[in-house]
Amino acid sequence: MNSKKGWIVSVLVTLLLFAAGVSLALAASQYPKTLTAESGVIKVDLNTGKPVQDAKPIVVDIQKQGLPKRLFQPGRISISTGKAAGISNKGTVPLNLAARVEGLPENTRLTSTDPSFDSSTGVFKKPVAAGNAVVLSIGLNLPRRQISGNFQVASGRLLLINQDTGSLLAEIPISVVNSSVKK
Amino acid sequence: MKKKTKSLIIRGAGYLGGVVLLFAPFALIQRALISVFGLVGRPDTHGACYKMFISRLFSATGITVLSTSSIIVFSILAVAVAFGPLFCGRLCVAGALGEFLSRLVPDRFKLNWQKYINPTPIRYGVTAVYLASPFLGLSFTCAFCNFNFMEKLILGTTIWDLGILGSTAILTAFLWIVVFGLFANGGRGFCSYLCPVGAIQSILHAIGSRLGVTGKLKLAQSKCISCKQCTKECPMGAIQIDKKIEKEIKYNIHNCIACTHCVAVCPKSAISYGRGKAWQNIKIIQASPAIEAELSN
Repeated sequence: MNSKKGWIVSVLVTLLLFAAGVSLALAASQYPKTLTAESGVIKVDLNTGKPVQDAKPIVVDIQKQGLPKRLFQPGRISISTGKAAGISNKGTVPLNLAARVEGLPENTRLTSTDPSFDSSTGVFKKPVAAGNAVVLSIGLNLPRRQISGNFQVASGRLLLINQDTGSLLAEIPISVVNSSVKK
Repeated sequence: MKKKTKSLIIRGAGYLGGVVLLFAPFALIQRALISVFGLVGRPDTHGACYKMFISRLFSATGITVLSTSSIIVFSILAVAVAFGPLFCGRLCVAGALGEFLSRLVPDRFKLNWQKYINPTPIRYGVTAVYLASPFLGLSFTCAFCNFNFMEKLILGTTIWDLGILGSTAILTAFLWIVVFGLFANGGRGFCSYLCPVGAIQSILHAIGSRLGVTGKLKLAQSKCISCKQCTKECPMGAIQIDKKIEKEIKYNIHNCIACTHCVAVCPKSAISYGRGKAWQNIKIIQASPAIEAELSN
């Protein structure tokens, strides 16, 4: 009887621990959804007919970062198109695209997983075909003293340029703020 | 050289080999599959990822069965059936990092998690969510991936920069390297409780071990002197002394990574790895007085 009771308890404990594992994983999968504000998102359509495309300003608030990020790496900020390519050529002809940042700290880096992108010049060496899109990331590295003392930590803009004509295709304002500091 | 030290060196060499074979900037297996066989995939740890395989399987461009991730994932699983979780025990540097770092910390600062909380059901619960997550659109697989962070560590040593980390990556590193690594007995708490890759291999090994022709750990009961070296040295806590009525040396195949470190440290060669009948738990009937005193505490 004791061994049967012990077996039942053992099975119950096992089931409880399994449920705990499932619950832990499900809870953990919700945590990243609370952290979408840790990075900025670039999303812009080019060649839509407008001379210079309007794009929603990108604002990243340091205070909205998760606690681990705020403790360990508050000044390292990524602004990117994300996993889905976010800079789209909505026109009917291929586009020779270049990207440049202005106003942001000198150590700001432009990168892309697109193998045709040259980080040193900001140029996509392969034209962006009509209907296609590209991936781009801006990496900021802001010192802690700059973050803690100012509401407006950094500001600048991302410029997307037609390499063939030199014309400006889109201008996206970028702003990094720390809402815990009063303006 | 002591067998234990030799085992650590050989295993360490294997884990470094795992770095070269599977992690960027090397990723020799992925690069070979891409360049020689023309398979789809990335020349980094993502090119060996289960989730990438599932995503690619049902991509908008149509079903892609053959990719670097599908080949690598199926190879690891096939080896697990035939020989046990050899990827974990011999190639996975992510697990080894925690284990080898924990050897630097005195035992009095470490918690023996596996002794007090059975890792197996928790591990399988986490794995169930992991397997379902690509279909449910959950971000669990990527957000808490220690393989991705391991690759950042490897790449970071070349430029002294880990890159931009999110809160989930920082939390993963803290749990994997600090809580379940440095300050955990065996240093493989992350593997024991949270790693779905090892869990899937363990299930397959548990099934495969029922066949006589597959590789598995074996215990020669007549040779065992209950010295407990295997329980102390097992990095996964897969071998434990049950201090209840039975006083058994228990082996949990669901938490074993087939690293065979126990084979190396057993002074009487009672533990071996090979084909045949699997480990049967034994009662401690030949314990020395010193061991009896310790067991009664």
